Amino acid sequence: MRMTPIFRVSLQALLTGRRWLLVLALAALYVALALILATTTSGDHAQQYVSLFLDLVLPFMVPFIALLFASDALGAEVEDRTIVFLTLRPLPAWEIVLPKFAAAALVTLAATWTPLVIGFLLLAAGEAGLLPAALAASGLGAVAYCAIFLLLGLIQRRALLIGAIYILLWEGAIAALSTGAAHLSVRFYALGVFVGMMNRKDLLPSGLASPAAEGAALFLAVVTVAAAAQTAYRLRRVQLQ
Amino acid sequence: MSGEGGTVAENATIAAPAQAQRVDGSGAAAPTIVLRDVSKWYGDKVALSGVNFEVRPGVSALLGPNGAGKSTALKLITGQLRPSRGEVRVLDQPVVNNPRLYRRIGLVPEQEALYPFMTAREFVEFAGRLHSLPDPRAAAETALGHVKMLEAADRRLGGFSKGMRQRVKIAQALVHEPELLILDEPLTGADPRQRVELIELFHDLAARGATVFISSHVLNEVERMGSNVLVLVDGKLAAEGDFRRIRDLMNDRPRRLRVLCDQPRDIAARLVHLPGTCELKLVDGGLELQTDDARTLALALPRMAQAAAAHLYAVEPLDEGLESVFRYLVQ
Repeated sequence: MRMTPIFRVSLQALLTGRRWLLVLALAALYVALALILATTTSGDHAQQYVSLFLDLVLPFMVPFIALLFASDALGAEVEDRTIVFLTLRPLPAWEIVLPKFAAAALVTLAATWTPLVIGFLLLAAGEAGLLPAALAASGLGAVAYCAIFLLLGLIQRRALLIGAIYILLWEGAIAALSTGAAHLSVRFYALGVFVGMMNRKDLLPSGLASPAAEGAALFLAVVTVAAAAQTAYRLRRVQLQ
Repeated sequence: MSGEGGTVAENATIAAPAQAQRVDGSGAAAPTIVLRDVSKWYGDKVALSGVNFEVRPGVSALLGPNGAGKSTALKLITGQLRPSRGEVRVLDQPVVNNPRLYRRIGLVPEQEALYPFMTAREFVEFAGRLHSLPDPRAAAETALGHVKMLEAADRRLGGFSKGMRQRVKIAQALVHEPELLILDEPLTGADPRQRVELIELFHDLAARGATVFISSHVLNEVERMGSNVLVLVDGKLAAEGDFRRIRDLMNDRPRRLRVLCDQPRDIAARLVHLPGTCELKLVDGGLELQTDDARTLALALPRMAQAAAAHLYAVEPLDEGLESVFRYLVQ
């Protein structure tokens, strides 16, 4: 199986890179907030878990962790040109892109889900229905973001900067203000999965618009496949000067 | 490359940039690499312009100063770049979007970056696995043996010197025993003994029927690598053929010299009459001149200084840089 060694090397590269420090900082921030809320406040902790998920996890933590890992998965190899050790082999492009994507998605999921589970244990352990919804929504969102940022890393030298602007400006500001723009954001569909799966709708802010969970999940899957396919298509067409 | 065989010295050509042509009367093996009217530009910048050449089995070198277009040519040949105009064929196939061709090609890229967390053995074995070799471990062992890296095979690449990295890069390119081995500045960082060993390796591979195509900006390196040379200057093919013939032309070129002496006027008065000497001018501490015949000047100058009762302190070349040597070839 030729994809296994690429997956292993990609995983090693991601785990030894310096971006882990930023990811750890993001995860630690979330856990610290959950801990503070759990120990210093006496309000509805499940409500706080949902608020943290909607205001911190979905709009910032998931996309930024995905950006840090996925843009580096191909981007770092393009930058230092080790990509030739993969592309100048008798492999179809998807055999390179798929393990790269899988490695980026795996570390992104690990780095996203671990603090989410810790936060759940700290704040909402009594509300068992919240955790699967949070894991599914963040997971599907993370995988879609990974596919998008893997492509961005391949075609853009400043993927980190462009990705950060995209997250803050489009997914954050514009999509939050306009319902039309929201329909073109990953966050909106991840929210749909969360809202559709959770059992405590009373914990959600009133007037929160979100798509049906099944349609949202399908949309995220389509985005993931389309971005990965586009990455494979572009891989052998990117010209390295 | 063109000019393969015993009569290459006579067949060498130095041509005007746009018309550099292959001169081939040898009936040698089919060409491994063919570039037909290939140009490559990035926006306004022209990296290669109307380049035509063929490379045949054996060791061939692509020589030129930095920025001449060597790396661009190698990237076109390995399919990393697409030509803006013209056609590149390798092993009689188009190279762009043809990954199956990489079964038959090995590339030693110029860049130093490797996967620092891997050992040399893991890295070469990794290459073997991507080539779907039946026994990548044994193939890696053989390739590392070729470049004499077996002793350091289990050390991490992150701690390797430049020379060791070069040898590992060569091993990963050899692991699948390619018909065409392309090397971009492969001797960078290698010590003299390693250079000799690597050049021997290239000749061994060529003797077994492979095409070894090497880029270099170092004249002496190329001299030892093989007689077949392509010279690129400013993105154009400036010369093609046997190295000895090209080297002779380089030696015969006009040279500018600075002569440090006292009484430079007296020496200059005598030099004016020396055949091949021109553009004489007095400078602080001596004089500068151009000569078409450095050997005659070298013999005459001490005698002239003696006759003028002058002291000769030094004779310095003013244009011995590689760049000027290459530029001469396109004049």
